[in-house]
Amino acid sequence: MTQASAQPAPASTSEEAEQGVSLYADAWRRLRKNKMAMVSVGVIVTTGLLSTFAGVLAGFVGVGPTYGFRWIRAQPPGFTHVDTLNQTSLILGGEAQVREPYADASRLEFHTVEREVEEVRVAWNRRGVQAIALTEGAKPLDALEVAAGEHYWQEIDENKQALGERIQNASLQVGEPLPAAFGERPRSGVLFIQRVHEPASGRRVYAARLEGGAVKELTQNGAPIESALIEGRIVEQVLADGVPQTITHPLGTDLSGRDLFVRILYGGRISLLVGLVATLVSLLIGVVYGAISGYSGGRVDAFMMAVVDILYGIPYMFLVILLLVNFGRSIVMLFFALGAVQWLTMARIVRGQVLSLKQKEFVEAAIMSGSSPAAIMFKHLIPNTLGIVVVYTTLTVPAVILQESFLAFIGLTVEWGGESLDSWGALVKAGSDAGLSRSWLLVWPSLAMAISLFGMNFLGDGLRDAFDPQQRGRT
Amino acid sequence: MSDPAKPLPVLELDDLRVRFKTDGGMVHAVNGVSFRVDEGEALGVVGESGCGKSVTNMTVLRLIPTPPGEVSSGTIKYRGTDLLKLSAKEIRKVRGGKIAMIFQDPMTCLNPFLRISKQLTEAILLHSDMTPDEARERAIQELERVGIPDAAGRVDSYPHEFSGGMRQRVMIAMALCTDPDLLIADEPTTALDVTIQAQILDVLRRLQAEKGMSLVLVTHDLAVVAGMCTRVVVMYAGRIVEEAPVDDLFADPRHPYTIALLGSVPRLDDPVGRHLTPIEGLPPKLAEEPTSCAFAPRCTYAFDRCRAELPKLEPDPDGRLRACFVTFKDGVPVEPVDAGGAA
Amino acid sequence: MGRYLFKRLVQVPIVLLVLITLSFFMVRLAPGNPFSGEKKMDESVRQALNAKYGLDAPWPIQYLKYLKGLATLDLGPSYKQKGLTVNEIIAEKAPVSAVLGLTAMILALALGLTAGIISGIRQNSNFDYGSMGVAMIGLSVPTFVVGPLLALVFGLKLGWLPVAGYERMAGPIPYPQYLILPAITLALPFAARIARLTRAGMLDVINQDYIRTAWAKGLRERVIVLRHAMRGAMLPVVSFLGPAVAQILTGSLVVEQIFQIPGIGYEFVKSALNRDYTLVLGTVILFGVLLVAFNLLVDVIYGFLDPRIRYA
Ligand SMILES: Nc1ncnc2c1ncn2[C@@H]1O[C@H](COP(=O)(O)OP(=O)(O)OP(=O)(O)O)[C@@H](O)[C@H]1O
Ligand SMILES: [Mg+2]
Repeated sequence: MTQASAQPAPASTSEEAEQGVSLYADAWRRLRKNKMAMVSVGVIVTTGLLSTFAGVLAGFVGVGPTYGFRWIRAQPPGFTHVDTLNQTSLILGGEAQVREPYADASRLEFHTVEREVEEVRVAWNRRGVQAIALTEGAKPLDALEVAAGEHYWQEIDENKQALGERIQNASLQVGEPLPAAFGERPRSGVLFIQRVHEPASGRRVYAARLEGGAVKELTQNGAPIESALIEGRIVEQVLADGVPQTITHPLGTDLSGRDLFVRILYGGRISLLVGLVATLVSLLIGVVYGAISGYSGGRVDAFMMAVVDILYGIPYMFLVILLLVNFGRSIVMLFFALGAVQWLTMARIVRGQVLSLKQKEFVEAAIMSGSSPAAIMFKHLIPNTLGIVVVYTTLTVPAVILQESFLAFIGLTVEWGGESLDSWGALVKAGSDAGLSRSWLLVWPSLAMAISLFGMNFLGDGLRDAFDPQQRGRT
Repeated sequence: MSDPAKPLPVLELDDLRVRFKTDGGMVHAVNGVSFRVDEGEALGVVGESGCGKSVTNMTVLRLIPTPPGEVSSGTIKYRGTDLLKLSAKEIRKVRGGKIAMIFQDPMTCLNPFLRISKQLTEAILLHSDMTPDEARERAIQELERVGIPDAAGRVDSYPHEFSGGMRQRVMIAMALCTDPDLLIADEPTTALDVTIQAQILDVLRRLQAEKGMSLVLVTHDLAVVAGMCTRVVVMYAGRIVEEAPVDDLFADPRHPYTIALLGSVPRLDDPVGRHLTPIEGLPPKLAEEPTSCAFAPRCTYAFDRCRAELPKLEPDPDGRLRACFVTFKDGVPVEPVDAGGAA
Repeated sequence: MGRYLFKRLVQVPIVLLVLITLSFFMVRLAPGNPFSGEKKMDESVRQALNAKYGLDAPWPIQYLKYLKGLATLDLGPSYKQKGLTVNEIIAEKAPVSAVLGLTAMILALALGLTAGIISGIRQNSNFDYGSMGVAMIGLSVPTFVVGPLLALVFGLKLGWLPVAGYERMAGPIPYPQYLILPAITLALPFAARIARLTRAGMLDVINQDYIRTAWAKGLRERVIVLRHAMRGAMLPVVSFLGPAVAQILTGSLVVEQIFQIPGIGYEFVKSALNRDYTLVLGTVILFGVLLVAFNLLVDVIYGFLDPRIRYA
């Protein structure tokens, strides 16, 4: 049993082994055979490309990560709506303040509908509906009849977020339970019902002729006007050179009407950046520290490793939290904070490698021939620890990403120049706060994150197996 | 193969074939091995590294990992019952009870986490109805017999507290404490240095005689075979190429491989412990079952037939078994006449 | 073993001192002070508060005073929870976290060891592929994704378990239904690590010569696994248990937040965010002590398991 599994299959390796294939080529050959690892490489490359070219992809969707179509709020995947700004400003003679995709059209038409909204607040508990009150005007009602017809009623929650349902044919009565039309609700709560209707005079058409982006002619319902400020909320259609303008959000939008897909792409950028840079930091510190320690040996080594041992005993994440809370959450700070958490293990691994390499002939030969310690370290020792360093690095990146997302989750999102950079962790946090009815906000960012981490972990595993087949499956 | 005149052999292998399915394809490790071990006899098994000695012997106790290993044909009879057909429970009774095995590297073959006493008594308790106290007594006795000084004081030690030679003694004690009929020793001394080797072999020889058990001794070292065994089988590429009483083999080798082995090895009067030096050329890969003589590519005497047909292990007129188309007399080919020029 | 343990013991005060110093100055060096956030506070009131909490003294004095307090296990008064000392808050909150952490750890060990052992001895079986796949998911999907999802499915959709909350049955111990989801959430990544480590250890061990020897003795598989293979396979798991405590502590910050469990992790986050310095320090020190203690315990267990170390 033992000999058998310790020996590689003779038929497959003896020939190549005779040709003295290098460790790396051999590892690469083994890695290529590992299907999961190759799939993982695909996943990682895809993730990398997607977040690198986030800008290009955002161009396809038609909106960046920070712009929110405020009036649409959170909408499910695939949601399509009129492509217009929250406020479109057209002033005769001035530059048209319109959405980019049709900024250089020569004729624009905005069809708007002014709607009136009446809001009713309904609170209920186990015993039934407690109060029905008109919020504007605060007039209390005893009963409310929600009929189907030309007007529609829409349910929203306390944050004025549409719950995506339109209520029809329900009658609410103080003291009675919530009617079945409201579906399964928690035992108590508050919701708002908006009655939306459209006055006869509510429809308007703004038309503008543009030249080089500047407004040359402007009319409202055919009559020339000087300027128009058009709320996105009331726009029913935009025609640019006669073509209707819409925008589709493949993964829906968040609470402020920002495109989730684009935000996930940009979030991936932040997460990967943090993961890579912090890992690099840890790599630098760890490799140099470990190499010096291992190379020096003796007392220096003992002391340096005692320091590592001591630092190992410190609950780092708590210090990182303190650091971010007290000294601001700049992304640069985070790079170093997370890098500092990770370097210890790297230092230990590199030291171990260097210690054993030092015994090898080629290093002894270099020492004999009087090469300088720095030359030996950078020419012989560090390059030869590369395999294991690569493996460990691959496993560190997802670990760091996980840590950052964890910080983001407890509210410590990173910032740069005062602007919050929403990583995957921040998106997941927002999603889990958004609640059950908007599950896409939780599901998609989680999925993006999980798949990428999954890929990185699998690749790390695969690399380890490839570099060190004896250690197969070790963690 | 069994001779009706003789009593039932302790162990009898017939046409055993074992192969391994590996990433790099099939490995045919054992390709039709047949031999027997008689009551009280010591059989030597020799051959180059990788020729299938260990696989053959581990298959006897069904210790081959399956998968990747697989016995594709053959029988292994222990006093008439086919071990390959036994249930998992029945084979456990044989393992350690009837047939014991010791392995090459005493440094790694003892469990570093358990006391010696535990490792010995668990075997005794398993194969006898002794009480734990009796088993412990027995373990101490056995350790004394293999020559561990202060056995009673050291029985509760851990393996790392013993030297390599001492550990191999412990291994032997562990194998013998259940009074097996047959001991398979797979290169028991290879990992030890020369003086220790001699001591261990001494212990083995003495105990074999005392207990009257049979012994299969796998080794690289022809000198060891000469000193310990009555009969030898020579293996090449998963097959037996020659089988003979030990003196006959040394005096009159009748297979080119054996001749090469003996040629590459010092004679009996050379100092003890010298190993085989490799023969010219490489042993074959075992990707396919051989259909012609596997030794032919390295053989000085090979002729066309050797490369076309597989020689069977057959008796010469005087009863000596060998698998070769060339006939030898005193290490010189006599038939076919042109064989010598074929190289 | 004795010498080794001694070396580790000597390190303990150093570790703690480094930790205390680091966190003390990190908190003190921060811009602003705990009472600067409260806008409508009179300058005189603020000064009075600073004097009351000793914040007007120079840092070295504050530091020494804090150390002196620590020597008598006094972590000082909370700056933000009026009338409560840090000791009182910790005594109130820490046991809740301990109950959660302990449950999670037991769960993780049970799950991880079982899955790891079976996968190890049945390498490349469907069970192996399945459980290692799940373990990889456990490693890749963060706790804060798993938690809300579990709450969503078992709390909201199926209604089997409470979505959040912590109704106490006796002392810090809640009714079991309040513990199930948080403990599972917390245990999952930890179980995943243990399963992978155990499997790797098992694979390593079952290919050892001494396991072949055990087979050759005629022992049954169960005995071989439990008596001969387990110990060796457990060694990597044991070394992981020390850092694992740190992992479970950090994990509990999030889990306590998700499930609204009034534990010390949640308290730490709150106190860090609203700058309750003494409380933050106290909690960090508590975590540090726990970590150090567990690392020591792990060393002892390691020596206990491996005679080569015990007698070295
Ligand atoms: N588990 C296994 N998987 C694949 N191949 C195996 C396995 N066990 C043995 N083999 C192959 O079977 C052949 C015979 O091996 P075996 O260990 O029996 O040789 P041996 O004669 O005992 O050699 P040595 O003198 O070196 O011990 C070798 O080619 C070996 O690579
Ligand atoms: Mg062998």
